[in-house]
Amino acid sequence: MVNRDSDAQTAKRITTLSMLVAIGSVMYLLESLIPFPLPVPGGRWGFSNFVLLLAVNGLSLRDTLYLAIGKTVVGGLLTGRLGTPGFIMGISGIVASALLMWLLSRSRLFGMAGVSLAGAAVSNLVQLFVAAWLIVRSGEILYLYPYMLLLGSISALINAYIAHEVIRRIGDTIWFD
Amino acid sequence: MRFLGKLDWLIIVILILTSIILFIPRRQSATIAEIYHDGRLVMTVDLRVDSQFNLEGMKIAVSGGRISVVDSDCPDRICVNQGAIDRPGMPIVCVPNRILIKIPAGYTQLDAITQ
Repeated sequence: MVNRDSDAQTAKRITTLSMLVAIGSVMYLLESLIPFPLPVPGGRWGFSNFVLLLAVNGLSLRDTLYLAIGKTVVGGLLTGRLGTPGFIMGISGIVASALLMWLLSRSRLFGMAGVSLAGAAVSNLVQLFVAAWLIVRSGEILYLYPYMLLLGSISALINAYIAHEVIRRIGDTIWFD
Repeated sequence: MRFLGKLDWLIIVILILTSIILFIPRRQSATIAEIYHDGRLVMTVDLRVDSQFNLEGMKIAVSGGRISVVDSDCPDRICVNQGAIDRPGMPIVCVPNRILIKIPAGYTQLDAITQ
């Protein structure tokens, strides 16, 4: 697809990606103001991830990963968390969940809610594994997983609903002419 | 893309089962005991490792996650008679030796990480 892109398609792709990165970064900044009740370093609700739900429906895997990394890095800059342990956990989780959500979405077997829930569950799991192996160097932090799963599922369902409404209202026009 | 797809119930069931399995309460046993002498923390003992040591004329033992004073040179030996403790609550106190052994409340394995 990339090699055959016309100039208009390239412009469209860049615009869509930039817009989603911008929305995702601002959501990342805003959601970091919402208190997160678990003692996880850099713990966040994950509302910024709804842009990924929009992306997996129409963007290529490469662009989805660009978006995942882009919004986390820009959001990290805005919140001053770039490079902190919480940021490293977050970006690992987001890349893993973007990959999974893209695959689930392309399988055409799952709805928005399923893709979102699975993405959140995998994101939390990868975050805690990264924390257990690289940061606190102890498996005990994995005891937090059920609590993160519960909170993550709440925001995942909210994200799925937002993404579903956005696509229902504007159709596929953000990806295709 | 629909809000709920054909196989979404599968993901939901997996997540619910995972939560139920992980939420099954496990006994959160205490992992450390603190020993104070004259009100100052002099020692933190890992309850997960069996050990035995002497302190201020007392012989203190850790066995199976419980800590006890097995022998003491004090006259009344209340600390020895109290037996072993394995949870927050009643500390072992030896007044003649000015020793207090307690298991801090709320200090679970999880807290050991997050602190």
